[in-house]
Amino acid sequence: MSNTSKQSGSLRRYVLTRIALAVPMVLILLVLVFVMMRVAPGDPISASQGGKLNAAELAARRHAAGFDAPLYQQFWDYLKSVATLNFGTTFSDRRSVRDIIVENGGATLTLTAGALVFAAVIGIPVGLLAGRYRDRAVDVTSRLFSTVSYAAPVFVTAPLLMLAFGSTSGQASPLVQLNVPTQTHILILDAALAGDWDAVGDITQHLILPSVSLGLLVVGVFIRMIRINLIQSLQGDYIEAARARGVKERHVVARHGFRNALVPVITVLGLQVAMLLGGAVLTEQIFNWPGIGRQLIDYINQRDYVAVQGIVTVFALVVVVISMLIDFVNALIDPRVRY
Amino acid sequence: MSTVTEPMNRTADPVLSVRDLRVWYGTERGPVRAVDGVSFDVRPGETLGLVGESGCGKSTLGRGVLGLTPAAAAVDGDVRLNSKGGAGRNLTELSDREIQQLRGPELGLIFQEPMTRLNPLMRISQHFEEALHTHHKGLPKKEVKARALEALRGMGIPESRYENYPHEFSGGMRQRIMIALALVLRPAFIVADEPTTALDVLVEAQIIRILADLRKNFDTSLVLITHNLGIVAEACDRVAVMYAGHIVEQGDARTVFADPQHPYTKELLRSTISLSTTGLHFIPGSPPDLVQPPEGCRFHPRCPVAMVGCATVEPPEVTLPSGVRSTCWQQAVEVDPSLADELGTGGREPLAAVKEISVADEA
Repeated sequence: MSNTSKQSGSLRRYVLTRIALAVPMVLILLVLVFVMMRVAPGDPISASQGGKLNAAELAARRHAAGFDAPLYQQFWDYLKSVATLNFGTTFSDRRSVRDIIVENGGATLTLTAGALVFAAVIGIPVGLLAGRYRDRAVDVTSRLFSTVSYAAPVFVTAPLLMLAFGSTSGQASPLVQLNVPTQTHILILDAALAGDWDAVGDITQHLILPSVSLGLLVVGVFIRMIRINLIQSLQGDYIEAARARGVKERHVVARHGFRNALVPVITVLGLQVAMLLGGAVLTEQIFNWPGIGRQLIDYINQRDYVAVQGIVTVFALVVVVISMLIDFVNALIDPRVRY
Repeated sequence: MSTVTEPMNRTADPVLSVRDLRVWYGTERGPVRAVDGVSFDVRPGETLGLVGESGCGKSTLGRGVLGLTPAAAAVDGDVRLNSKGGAGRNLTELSDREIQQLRGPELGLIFQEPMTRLNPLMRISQHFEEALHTHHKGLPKKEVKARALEALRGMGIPESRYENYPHEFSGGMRQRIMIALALVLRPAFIVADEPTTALDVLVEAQIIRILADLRKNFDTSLVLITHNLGIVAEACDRVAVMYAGHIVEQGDARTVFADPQHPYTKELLRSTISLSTTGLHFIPGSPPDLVQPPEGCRFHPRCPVAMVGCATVEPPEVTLPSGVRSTCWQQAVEVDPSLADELGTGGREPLAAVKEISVADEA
């Protein structure tokens, strides 16, 4: 506790504890995903062949696919597929879920990152201004904007944005076919690596509207969280104490006010990532964005529960990992978090 | 309130000279006159105790001097800082930037509750670096650390704790860090606002001893705000008693305590608790509403020796032969009988007797 080496030790201990605590969390999550898939009605075979085949043949097909195996057996297979990071093979088109993640994950990542960038670029400065100039015009306007933005669902804002800024038909124009070598599976990076700057520009153009639609979902929360936390931290006793030492007002606000206001905001950021992933599914569908979310909807329509189960599992794991990373960042910023 | 009738014996020119300081807060009901025409001096190395009930304006007075009042407050009057950096300027007329530059190297403030006064995200070292770099630009890192450690050592905080965070310290240690943080800039004048209220008695004694040692070691002038009269007796050279935004009595601490003049001071001293206390004494009534303070002397509704005139005419401040200054008609007419005319005819009748008669008349 009294020297630096021990302090970094306590940070290490915090990280290890946090990772250990994630294990039961992941297990519970896997059980939930598995059970949800099994209680949902329908299966791929009856969805595609029901009505065409008689009951005996359907049962035979189900047996061949292993869908009539006991639940514990199915759960064990599921666990194995997660442990090997394979996440199963889709029933409808025999793809490995891992391949879906690798091929379409880049697009979803680009979209959520774009949304996050939009939310941060708009949300952080507006939130800070609103908190700093409380009850002035900037504050009132931003409060109104944030309430509207987080009350409006993606399926409302996205078509509206498309009507306003996109094609008049309300349909998103598809991406042009790109001829760049696949290296990272993240289209924009591949194009940049190949030096195809026209393609980068085209992708960026296509990225703006979906990112804004998705970002609007969380920007309101950003603004309000940052605003209220800044107001609270500016009333802090340490703020007056810093002023009493003659610290410059802009340092008082930036160094003492803003930093303390950001700690709770980072925690909320972790929760917002889950919100973004959920929103991404809808946004990808609306904008015809080639991400995992769109794949997920296709597989849901085909009742391909191996595929759905695999993709949902990956989404859940991503949220777990991100919330863990957020906790690490918080521990780095706020020494009181490391116990 | 009339001005000082006679200059006090002075051994040195005051570091801080406050004349007719007013701090009013704007509220929906009207201005709250938290500090309403206060005058006092603090000389180099002197400790002035500022005592009074809660809500009498003690803390506001301290903050008013440092320009740390909230935006809704108006500050008026003459606050001369005669230290090297203060150069005799009137602090109430300085710009935000000018007074900010004086806070730290010239004016220090120590707070009541040390637990929340340090930024929880900053190491102790970073607090010192910030304070020193703000006021001494380009001070080498080694020098910063040397000065910070010296200040901390003076407060009994070991060097090994320099890189610790605030939450790793106890309340008493945090208060000592706060004091070190104020002292590292070597201000000429410090306001300590109830620095021991949140601490236990042993730590309290330790902090008071540290503050009492300040004047010996640094020639620092101190205004010690407290409601603990024992602390004043122990650590202060002079004492000023505040009531409802006014200083009602001020003078040498021993003289005032041995022979209090103002009825409020007398009542306050009678209310202290000691081992020989058998029944608790308290002052009937409650402190006045500072939006609409009573006319005349603000203490007259609670004063056991109030006269009829006290209810209408504000008493002047007079200097008694002992050097103590009191703002009470009882002493005023003693010192200068001609002042009695101001009270009007029958003005010297006891107020309590008149009240009883009027009640009897109604019945």
